[in-house]
Amino acid sequence: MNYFTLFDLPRKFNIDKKLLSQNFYKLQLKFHPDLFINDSESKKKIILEKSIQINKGYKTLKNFLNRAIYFLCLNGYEVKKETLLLKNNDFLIRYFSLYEQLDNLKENNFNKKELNNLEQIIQKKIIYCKKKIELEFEKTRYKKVIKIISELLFFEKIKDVLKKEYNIYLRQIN
Amino acid sequence: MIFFKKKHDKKLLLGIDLGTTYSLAATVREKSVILLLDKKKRYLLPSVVHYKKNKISVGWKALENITEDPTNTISSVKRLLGRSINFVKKKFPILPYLIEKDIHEGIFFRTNFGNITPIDVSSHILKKLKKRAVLLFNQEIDASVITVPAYFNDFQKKETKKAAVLSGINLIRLLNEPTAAAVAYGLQKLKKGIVLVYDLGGGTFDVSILNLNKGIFEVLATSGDSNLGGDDFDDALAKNIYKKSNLQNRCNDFFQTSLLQIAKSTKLKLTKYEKVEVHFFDWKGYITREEFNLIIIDFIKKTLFICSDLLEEINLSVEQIKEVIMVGGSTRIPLVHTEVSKFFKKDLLKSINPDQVVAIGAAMHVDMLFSSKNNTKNKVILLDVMPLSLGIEVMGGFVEKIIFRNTSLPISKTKEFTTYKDNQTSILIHIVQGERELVKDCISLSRFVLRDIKPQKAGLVRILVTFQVDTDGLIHVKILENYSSKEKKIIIDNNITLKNLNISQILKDSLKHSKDDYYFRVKEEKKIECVRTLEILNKSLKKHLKLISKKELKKIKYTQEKLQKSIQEDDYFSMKNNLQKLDEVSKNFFSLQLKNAIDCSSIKNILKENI
Amino acid sequence: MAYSKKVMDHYENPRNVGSFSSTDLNVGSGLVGAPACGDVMKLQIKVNEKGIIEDACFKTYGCGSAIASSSLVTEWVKGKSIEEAESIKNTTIVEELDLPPVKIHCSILAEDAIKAAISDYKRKKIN
Repeated sequence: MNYFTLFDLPRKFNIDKKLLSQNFYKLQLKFHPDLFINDSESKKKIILEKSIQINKGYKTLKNFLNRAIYFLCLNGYEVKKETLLLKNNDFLIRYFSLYEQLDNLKENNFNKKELNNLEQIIQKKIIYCKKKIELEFEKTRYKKVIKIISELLFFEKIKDVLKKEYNIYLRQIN
Repeated sequence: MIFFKKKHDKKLLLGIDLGTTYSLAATVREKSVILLLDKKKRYLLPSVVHYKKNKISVGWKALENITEDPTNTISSVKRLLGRSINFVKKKFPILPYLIEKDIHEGIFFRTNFGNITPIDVSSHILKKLKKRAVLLFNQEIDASVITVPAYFNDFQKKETKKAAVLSGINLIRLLNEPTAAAVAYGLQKLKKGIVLVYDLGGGTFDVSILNLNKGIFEVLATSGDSNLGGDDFDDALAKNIYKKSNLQNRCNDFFQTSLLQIAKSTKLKLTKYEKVEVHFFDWKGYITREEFNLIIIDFIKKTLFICSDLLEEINLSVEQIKEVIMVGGSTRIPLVHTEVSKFFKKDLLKSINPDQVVAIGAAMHVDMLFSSKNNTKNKVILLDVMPLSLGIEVMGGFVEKIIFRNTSLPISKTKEFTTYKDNQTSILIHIVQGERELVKDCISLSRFVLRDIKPQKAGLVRILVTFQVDTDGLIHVKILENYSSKEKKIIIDNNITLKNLNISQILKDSLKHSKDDYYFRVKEEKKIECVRTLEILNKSLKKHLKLISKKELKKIKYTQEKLQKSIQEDDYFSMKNNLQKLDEVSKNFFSLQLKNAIDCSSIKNILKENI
Repeated sequence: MAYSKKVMDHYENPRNVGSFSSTDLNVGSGLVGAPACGDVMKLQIKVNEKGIIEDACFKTYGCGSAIASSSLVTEWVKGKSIEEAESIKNTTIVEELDLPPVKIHCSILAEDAIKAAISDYKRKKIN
């Protein structure tokens, strides 16, 4: 059973998040382990597996990237995050320079203007990647999606790193 | 005293709050929650146990012995549950107990009753509560739920579970304290929306953010500090009183424990009064609320930092929180209340007694678990989360997280890894818990070697590590190595608390105390006592070597060396232990000396007379 | 544990952090990335007339093990010939056998970076 059927959602990449939430809660009210505390050990084991599946499914569908990777998988394209590698291409060069900008920012004590600038650049890239992914999914051009997923992974990472570094800096000055 | 004469058809289901300072139990009868009272109508049971040679007393009675027999009166054991000896040495440098390391790097207490572990102490407290329940209801306990701090790591939770099993209370699950409090408020006060639970107890701090819906209470995120609470306020105040009093008394166990008790009662009085008079030995003085506030403000700020980090983690603003629930005795402190209220910009909910709310929530929860499926009217499902990330060690000391903190439970996750070297036939699997990038900064849960891997090129082997975490937050690990389909299932049950690699540094750091520091003074005194004892013993041995056998001498020398080593290492616990052991092994020697002295003097007298 | 200490040391005190001028004809640059961890690694080698790698440097953004790997690799290639460096395998550094596992991409990333740097150098030489 795939996660879309589990949560009673149409098998499309774009989902109704509110409906996902509602159906998630409905499933929890039905299959949560606390409801089966008096049942046999074998029943409890089955329920535990089901409950884990519900939580995993929810996590997968709720998050854009995870949903994208999952959707690809459903369409026959197994993307293992761990083995994706990129080499010497333009994307990496531009991405690397973003990190260099972050280094500069650190040296300049997170100058407000530059910080906002960098944040916006990264956010724009993320939005762009997401829009592209949605588009390619609509056109069922799955191979193209794989490349953009790599890029999105990178941008989400640098967004996190920027946030962390900024917080560390704020803590230090307080 | 309520005493039911005949057995009820109703199951006896208990919700138990095993707290740092106090423990209590509650149950649901006829749709209302009742707290279990003792013979004197008290619902609180001090989490204190006193060990005499053939008797164990728990609670108020044990508390009476705390200053007379501090070595054998264990209090706040929750702070020591699941902790390694090194952690205890660092964080609690001057405990009055005789603490030794056990074979698993954990600790045990040497008491008059015998060797007791923190699990034993906790089980004795639970047994007392069990007795209370059985006496009140004249029936055995059918099932119980014990609450634990949400931020407890896997060890601490498992040790709590073990204590429950030892005490025979039919534990069916553990429940996180803030979640239990949310249940109490959610059901009793019918709160809906996003709530934040601020739980500051005797030894632990938890903050949980929950979304209360009809039928579902979902924990969105949780954080805390499992070593921060009211006890720290007591310690800080004790140090302050010590400084103020400028007493030159000997800092022995009695002094230390009395000081701590005075600090505790002063703290409690300061909740009611702005200025409190303090009598400590010969000293009489005052502590004002203002002074106390200055002493504890840093601790409170720490809790608010944790809150603010948590809000940021899930992108929530203070305005989006509908209610802030105060839990735990320490939230009664006026400064805690004002600072938390200021931070969250709202009035705080404390209408349910902060001492009782966790037990009440636990009782409600266990009652719901057993009510029939058809009766879904007031049933609530609790969706809790993982408080600390779970991972394994990779490539020489880094942590690769497999399950991230704040993941909904139950959950399982599998990740693939590979070998580093060609023809590597064994793989070291080290499971850790924590948020840091390096293994040495995290909590070590389990460590073992997976052998007999088929030798092949590095990077080809596929190791699949699967973590499964159930609703209790307890962890199960499965390792599968692809090519040989060797499976190793481990339930993290071993008490293997590893030595931190940096331990010598940690100990060094912990010993950097200023000369005025109370802890420093206590340690120095103990050191002086040890040195003096060794000197006296050495002198006596030089003179009266002939009195004892070679075997006995060997024993004494051995213990002397151990004590000498403790002194050199500046290890307080070790000094205490070895000093006591040296007393024991040299007892016979000293009594022989005394006898010899008497004999000699009587011979002298006879000789004198004969001359 | 000899293994851990060495790796930890390279993480806490990484050697050869920096960059050479990429236009320099004796410099080969390799840039690799692993999206799962967001690791991006730039490795550069400076080769002399005899085909020996005189110097190497790196700049890595990403997880701790990626930083430690790149530091280790730059130390390792120094003084080696191009041919030797090309056949790099993650072998010599370690003496212990009970080793913790590695992340899949970490075992390849540093190698790929060196190989990319070498082919960049070779390409420059041809042109």
